[in-house]
Amino acid sequence: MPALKSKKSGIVWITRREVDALVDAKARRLLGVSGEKFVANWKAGKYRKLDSDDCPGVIELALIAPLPRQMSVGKKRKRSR
Amino acid sequence: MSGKNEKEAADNFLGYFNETISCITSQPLTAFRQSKKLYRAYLNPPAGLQTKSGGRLVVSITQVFGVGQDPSDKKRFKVRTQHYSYVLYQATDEGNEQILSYHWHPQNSAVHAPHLHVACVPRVHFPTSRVCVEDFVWMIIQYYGAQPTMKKSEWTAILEKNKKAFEQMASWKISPPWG
Repeated sequence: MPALKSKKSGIVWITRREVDALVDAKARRLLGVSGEKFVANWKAGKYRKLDSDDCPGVIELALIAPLPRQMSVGKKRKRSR
Repeated sequence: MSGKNEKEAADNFLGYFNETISCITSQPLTAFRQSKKLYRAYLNPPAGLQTKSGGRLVVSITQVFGVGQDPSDKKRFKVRTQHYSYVLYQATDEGNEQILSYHWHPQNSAVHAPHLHVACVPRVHFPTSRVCVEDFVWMIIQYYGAQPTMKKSEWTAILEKNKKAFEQMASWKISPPWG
């Protein structure tokens, strides 16, 4: 389904298929892996130590990718100190 | 920025966010509704900007937010930012060179607090409080000479109004309550 531009807000809403294509293109360009492989690697913690200094754009890629939410909204974690 | 349901709360937030970004680019925000309670919004592709002196900048803006019950009014729903990334690049003939980036991505890194990367000082995560997109846009115009898309009286009014809304609605500003 093509992207739809909401007349009300000017927001372009994209579909899951379009997000997957976007993530795939960016993952191939930045890391040389498919989008599917990137998500699998991310879930496995393989990029945990990778930061934007090592690979510019990788944080933005992770934020765009439809990774599962790890913490519910407003749920409190214990402070470490 | 609250709403009577999840979708209305998200739409209200995106309306403010898009209006702020419209001060520097006519490119609309792209949004993805991952679930009823999780949204991702970004500039896709990153937006190219002209500076007043003829230079070229590129900005990448990404926001991930959840929508949940408003703690102050159980009948309404409220947006909560979960991650953000605001990046400024210098555009050159060879590609984009990063100048700086404001990040908060507590679930995707060992650094859980909001921080700033400055390209000329690699590997340092400069601690920051929470940075709102209005301050990032203002900085780009004020200090990097980005050409606004509208008159000064208009963009300053938008940024002031939307920053005020952020200050009223934000559930935290220095460090997250669970940080």
